[in-house]
Amino acid sequence: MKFCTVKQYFDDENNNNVTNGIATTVIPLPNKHLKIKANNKEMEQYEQELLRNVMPQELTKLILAANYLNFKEALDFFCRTVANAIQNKSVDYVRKFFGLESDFEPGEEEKLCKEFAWSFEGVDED
Amino acid sequence: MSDNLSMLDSLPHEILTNVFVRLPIKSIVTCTAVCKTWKSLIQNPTFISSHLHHSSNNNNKHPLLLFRLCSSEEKEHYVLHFDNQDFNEYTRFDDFPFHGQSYDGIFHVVGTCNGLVFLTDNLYRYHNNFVLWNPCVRKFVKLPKPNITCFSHGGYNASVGFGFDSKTNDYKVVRFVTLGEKGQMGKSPPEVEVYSLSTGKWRMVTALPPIGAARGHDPEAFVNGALHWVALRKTGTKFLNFVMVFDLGDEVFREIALPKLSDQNGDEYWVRVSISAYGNSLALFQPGFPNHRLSIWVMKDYADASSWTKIKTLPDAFLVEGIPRSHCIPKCFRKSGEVIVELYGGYLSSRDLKTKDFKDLRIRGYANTFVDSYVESLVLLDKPNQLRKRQKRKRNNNSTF
Repeated sequence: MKFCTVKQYFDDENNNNVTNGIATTVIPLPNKHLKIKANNKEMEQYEQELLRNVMPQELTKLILAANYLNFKEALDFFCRTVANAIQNKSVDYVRKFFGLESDFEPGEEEKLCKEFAWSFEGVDED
Repeated sequence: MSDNLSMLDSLPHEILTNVFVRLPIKSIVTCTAVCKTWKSLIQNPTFISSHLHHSSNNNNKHPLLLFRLCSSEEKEHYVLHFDNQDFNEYTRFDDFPFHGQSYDGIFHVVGTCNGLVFLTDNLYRYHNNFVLWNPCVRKFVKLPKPNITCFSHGGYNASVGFGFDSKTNDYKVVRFVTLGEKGQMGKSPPEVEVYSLSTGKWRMVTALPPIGAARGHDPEAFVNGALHWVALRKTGTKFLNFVMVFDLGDEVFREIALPKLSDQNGDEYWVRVSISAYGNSLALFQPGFPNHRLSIWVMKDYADASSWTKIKTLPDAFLVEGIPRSHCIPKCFRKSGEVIVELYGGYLSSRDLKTKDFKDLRIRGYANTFVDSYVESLVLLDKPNQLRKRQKRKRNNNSTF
């Protein structure tokens, strides 16, 4: 772990509860990773737990924290978690998850849906 | 840092990329409809390259094989299997866009590269219809007509190859044309032209090719950034086979000698061999005559002709469903080094070259079966959607592909 970066992070940040939340989740990760590295089943369970306890907005902060701390394993882990969460879901579900709105012109979106109709078939229920 | 209540929409592009590359292709395509930023991020050559890199790494752990099987009704089926012990089916590409549009009934699959499948409508005649198709994203590009046609150059034999130029991140199709009778006798150099996907045009190759006749529709190998063909040349009174090499990046020619293939005073006119990619090198298949024993050679050190080593001669026949089947036609090598062969009747089997293990793959094609390794990709996703032709093709001379 890059301890100097961690210190800098906390010095830079406004001291609020959110930052503490990240610290308690991100910092222990390397130990957790080492412990459960070999066991995929445990990783999946940890992932599920994380998803249940952490709202998408929190996930952003975790990702940004891991990115800032240059902590590649954690970053890959969170990205994998997000990917699993939005895999085979509808466009609306993904938008809700990320808090995004469609900014397409009215005709544009329809065109896209027509062009890639095959990719919108068979998605999971929202 | 800004207000920490920002949503996931503020994630930098590298992180979004990190998420997207982990999604199955279907989901990545869905994401293009989420918002403008995502659409332009995904439908971008940089992202497509990143995804390909990720997909190739995955593929090394879980390699795939693409099968193109023709049924008795001239229908084409494209299926992906896991290239492992179990050999289970991974997915089918049911959306072949050109059913019934081939003049010859079915298309000729030249090769695959980075998820693209290169098809020609050239099996028996001079149609010169070429298509680059990515079944993963259901996109295709029809190539314009090439420069060398029978109208411009008279009769010819053309060999076509397809590959990726990593220097310019471009896909290239190369036509290696042996002109007229003199060309067929291996007495004059071929004409060579190249199509580049990024320019969308054909142009003639300026480097001077060595004298040699391409041996028709023989499979080529794309290895180490270069295309390889078996060519024939007349030296003195004798004919000699050799490997013509065309480097896609530098667009220059090289040659690699083949091992001595004939006992008939060194004249190889009637010797018909084919080559295949074998890891980072080449393999040579030599059908036996008059028996059907197939000999397999491998070039242990790429480009070092002295390293050609005969590693196996496959027996005449294998038992499939209790019936001996012969006429081994080699198709390709598996990741494990086993060779996939097509036996008489279209039965596909996998043969271990070290042990005597032989496995019936339980796959059967009727003719023109194509097998090769395959990597899923998003290549062509950033190209506009080409209009598909109507399913029925016009049966008149004016119809264009």
